[in-house]
Amino acid sequence: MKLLDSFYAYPWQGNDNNCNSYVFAGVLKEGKHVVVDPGHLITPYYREASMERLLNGMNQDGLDGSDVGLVLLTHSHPDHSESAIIFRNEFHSLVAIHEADAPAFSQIGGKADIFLDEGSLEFRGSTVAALQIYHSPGHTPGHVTIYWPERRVLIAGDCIFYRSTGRADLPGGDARILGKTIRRLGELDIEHLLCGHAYGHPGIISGREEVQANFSYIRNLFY
Amino acid sequence: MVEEERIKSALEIAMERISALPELTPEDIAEQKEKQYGPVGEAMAGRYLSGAITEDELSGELNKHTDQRQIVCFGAVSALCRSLRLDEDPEITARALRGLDRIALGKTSLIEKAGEEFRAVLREFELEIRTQLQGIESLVLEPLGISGSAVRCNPAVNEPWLEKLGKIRQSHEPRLEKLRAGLLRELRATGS
Repeated sequence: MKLLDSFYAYPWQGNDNNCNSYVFAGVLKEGKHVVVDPGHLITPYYREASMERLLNGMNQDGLDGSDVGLVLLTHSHPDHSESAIIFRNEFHSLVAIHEADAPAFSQIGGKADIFLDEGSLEFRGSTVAALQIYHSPGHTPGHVTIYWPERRVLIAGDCIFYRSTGRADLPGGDARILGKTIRRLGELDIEHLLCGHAYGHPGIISGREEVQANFSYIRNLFY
Repeated sequence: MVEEERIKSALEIAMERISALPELTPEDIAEQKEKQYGPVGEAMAGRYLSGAITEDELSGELNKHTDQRQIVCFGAVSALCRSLRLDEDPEITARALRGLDRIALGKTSLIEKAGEEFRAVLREFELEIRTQLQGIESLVLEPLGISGSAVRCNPAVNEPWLEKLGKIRQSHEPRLEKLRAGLLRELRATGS
């Protein structure tokens, strides 16, 4: 689903748990794409072919999975990262994750070619000039969020959902740190808040007021 | 009268065979002792390097072997020398040098010299890695057309880099091997 120029969203619509995926199309050299959080290969309970669904969705938008040059992972949990292993092995995509989440990613067989730090990620000669990577711990120690300042888009991973937050009770999670992260992200100028899951809502919150209302709701309820 | 033939016991047969063997030479005896007591020293050094025992405890344990102290000590010294490696944890190599200094009493200058030489080899090795690593950024990021402060290559999974690292290590290894062998030779000659 095309959300903005060069930017596509693939909200998970299956029955099992899996993440929403996002694609920056043609921003790399030779027109290759960047996928954010490709999700599970196959979901664990209902055995839904989630990676296949992502590739089919991309195909419908004229994007070929074999043209994915880079996979950005917001964090290491398999419902976000498992398919990255296939992208790397089959399509020779490079995989990027924060160093603090790399050990957990390696436990499911993942290899990180690039470590993500807080800072800028620039695409030379692309319509998407640069992204800002924020280290956003709390859900996991090495969770990152991806901000596109030009279009005021925040890919929030599992920090924040529609009227809810990511879990902080999983290994490496910390509710207090997650609260800090959410307060910090709430200060950004956001037009499109793109959540890591479609929990009771597609997880794509558009409009500054809607986004701010969501942050206020979470602050009042949780922090 | 013909001596009565009787069936020999297994013990008797074994004893007969042993008595037929040639006497052990002093070299054979020394070699056997080295095989027997050398690993004792190596195991002690292993425990010391892992942090299970301190230098004092290592020294105390070695001194318990009054009869074979020299062989046990040499086993420990060999193991400590082997741990002077390029890709070893710096804390382990520092520990190995401290251990060598403790075992080789009175050879402090020898150990210090070896330590300095080892650190010099290590510095050159690390400098070469740093220089070569700068190239890997362009090797990985350039083909994608990406850059920025948020992206840092992980050389540990980069096949061309791992190949290159192996070659760099190989180029420094002969000097290090010479250093280890020299140190071991000198410590043995001085009877530590």
